[in-house]
Amino acid sequence: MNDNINLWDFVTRHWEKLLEQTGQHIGLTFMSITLAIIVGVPTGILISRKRKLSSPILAFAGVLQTIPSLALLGLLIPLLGIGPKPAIAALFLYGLLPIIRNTYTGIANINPEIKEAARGLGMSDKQSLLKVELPLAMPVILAGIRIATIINVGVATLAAYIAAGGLGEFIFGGISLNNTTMMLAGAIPAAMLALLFDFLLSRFQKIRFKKMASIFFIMMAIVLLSGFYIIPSLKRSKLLAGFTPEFMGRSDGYIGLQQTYGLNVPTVVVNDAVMYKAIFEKKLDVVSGYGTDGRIDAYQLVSLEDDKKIFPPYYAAPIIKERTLERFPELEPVLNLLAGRINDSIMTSLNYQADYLHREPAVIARAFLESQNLYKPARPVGKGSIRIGSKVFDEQYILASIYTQLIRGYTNLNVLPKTGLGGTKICFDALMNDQIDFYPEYTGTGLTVMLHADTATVRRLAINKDTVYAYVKRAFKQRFQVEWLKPVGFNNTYAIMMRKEDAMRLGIRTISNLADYLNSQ
Amino acid sequence: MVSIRQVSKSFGANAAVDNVSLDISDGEHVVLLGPSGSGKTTLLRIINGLVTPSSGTILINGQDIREQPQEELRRQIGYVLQRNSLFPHYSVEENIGVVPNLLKWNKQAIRQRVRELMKKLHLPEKYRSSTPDELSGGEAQRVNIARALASDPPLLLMDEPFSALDAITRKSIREEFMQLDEFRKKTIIMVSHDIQEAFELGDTILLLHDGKLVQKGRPSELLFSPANDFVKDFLSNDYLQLSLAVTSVADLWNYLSGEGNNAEDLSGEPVCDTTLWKAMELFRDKNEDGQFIALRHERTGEWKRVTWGNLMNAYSSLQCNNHR
Repeated sequence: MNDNINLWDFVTRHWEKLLEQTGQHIGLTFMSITLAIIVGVPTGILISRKRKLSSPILAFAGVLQTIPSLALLGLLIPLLGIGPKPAIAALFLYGLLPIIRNTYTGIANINPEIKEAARGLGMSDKQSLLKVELPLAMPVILAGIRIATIINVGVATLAAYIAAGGLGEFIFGGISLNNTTMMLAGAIPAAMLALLFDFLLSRFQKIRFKKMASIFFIMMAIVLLSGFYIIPSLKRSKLLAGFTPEFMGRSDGYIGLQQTYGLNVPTVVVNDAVMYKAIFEKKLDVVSGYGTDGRIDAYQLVSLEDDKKIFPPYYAAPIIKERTLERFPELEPVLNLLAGRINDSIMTSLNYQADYLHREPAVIARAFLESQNLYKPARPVGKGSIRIGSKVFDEQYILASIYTQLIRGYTNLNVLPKTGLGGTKICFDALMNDQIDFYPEYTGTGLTVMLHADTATVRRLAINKDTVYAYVKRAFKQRFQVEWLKPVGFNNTYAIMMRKEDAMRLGIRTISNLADYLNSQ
Repeated sequence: MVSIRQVSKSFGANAAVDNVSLDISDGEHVVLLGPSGSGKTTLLRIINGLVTPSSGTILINGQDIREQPQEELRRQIGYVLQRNSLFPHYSVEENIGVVPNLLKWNKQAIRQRVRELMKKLHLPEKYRSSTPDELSGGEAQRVNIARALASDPPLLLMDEPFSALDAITRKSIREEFMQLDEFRKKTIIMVSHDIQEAFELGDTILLLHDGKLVQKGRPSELLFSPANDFVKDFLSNDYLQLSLAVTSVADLWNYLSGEGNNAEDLSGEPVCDTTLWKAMELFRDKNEDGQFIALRHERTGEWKRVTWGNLMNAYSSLQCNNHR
């Protein structure tokens, strides 16, 4: 995909998709907020009546909100699968705290004289609540709903990670593809949605209480009806594919599969952190992944052969600015110590230890270095320091740990890990802006994402791993003054994976087989 | 009308109300007076069930208040709170109409009653749709009183209703309040810490101290026959003014040497038939040229034309007599 087009062109070209995503985004936000109101306001009222319950309930809702959004989504997958249901559930849980807390505070902070007057004039508890306390607390409650809505418009972008759609598809696609236009096409409507909702709710605050209640019920009805439209939209056909936002947008990804193989499969967008779990739990049947992923074995998956060679080689190598190499001449030989040392099967087993056995990257790195007789204890630290970056998956953490231990053992440089940078774009931007000094990158990513090589170039180069390496090395030097050091050895190319049992049963071995199977019926 | 039988209320170890018993008859205006912390507000709140007593019973018209639903009980009792107790989200009209609404009066009747009360309490018609924050302190308190009177309850409880107002507003509202027929016929129990207010408004004063009832009696009884040193000390600072206020023209009548007794002679003179304090105020308000005011005996209807000197002589004679 080419991102040298302006935002307007992108929007006009993809407006249908954009509209769909915006609709999904609104649906997710509305559904979850409505549920949060239905549960949160009565809970708030309850704890304003039974003060003893207030601390445990507020603490519980507070804890829910501290769970990282992606982790919460991951926790919900075994229960609710993938798609809008876990996304709405997660957003609902996020919306609860502000709504409960503000309902409680709103009611608790009403002038006690006024509550006393309500009681003293002969209102029952219910009358006092409905006629006096709720109307007076309403501005505070609505402020809570506004906060929850704004939070949820933001968090709903993450729904794209679990196949629930929304504007996150463009945002995360854009981030991983280094495509600013695509990212903005998702981010700007998301920001506008937040502002719009905030504005509408602020208008709402001025309406009197009685009218408000009826409007709320009408809104709730609309939302629940729209909910019926959202939920079944994730219909299952023969096979369901889940691809990462990055894979969806890449010329050597989903687009390549469609163009070269004629693969035609219902597809949802999903984050790789939850993808393996989802396929293992049979929520998905086909996923995109990486050749050296440790979870292939762990989850009994099989990687389909790329018989038409659309995935370029992805050889990992550290990339570093020329200027940094000049400043620390001792660095290059140390980083190159690893060159050619890790082949595909070694990397897969290292990944397996991290992904499946959950061992610490530093432990895995040390064991590996010791087995290669490369390990040396850390030297005293001198003046200079090096910041190592990595993307957020285990292979990158392991490589970063290995490099950290090498630099500490062989030089006097101090090492500052800056690992866990969201995606290719974030990592590369960090490198270019001197926030990190180097990180491990893959030749195929360099070729397609940073250099935006067109399909013809990819085809021409992809025949040979060395030509791809040579091409990116030269181009990066010219364009970014960034040096590709020697490749580590393994090729972590894209892979299309299925469950082993399915593949055996359906006789699918290659991607062509899969395309034939899907087109056959 | 109201009987309080051996009522006590303690909060933790503190006894806020300690074994108080008393009877209040129909139409009596009772002021609960005492320093802060004496338990007067708690006692008031016990009467309409806002506070449940630790022991003892309250009877209203012979019925134990615990035997009826609390909300219904409270709808039968007017309640005026100190301040800031108007519902800020209601208009003046809605605020006044709260209790009739709870009693499910029809809209027309509520409207009528609100209009009537606003007129009686000198609230301009245009305030009907104003909200409480648009009113001055005095106006808000009139609305507050109107709200308590809306359903015309026979019993009215007032918790320091004027204390949040400035001195001048307080005095004028108090005077209006006393003149209203709505008030005159009601049984009123009012909490106050203002001694002069209590003397002005109360037929009966209940002086409370540390939760105990120290003395119950007419204002003049408290002043001239204090039950103990606490009562005496409590009133001592205001003694002179109070004694002028509780001494009626009728009390002085036999000591007054004045001329008159003929209605025709009195034309043009200001007339007083209430208290010595009022009579003295008439002298203050008079211009220099007249030395006389007219006094009228409220029961017999006799007239006397007196000078300042006559008045003062009569008062000292009365004092001598009282102390003798």
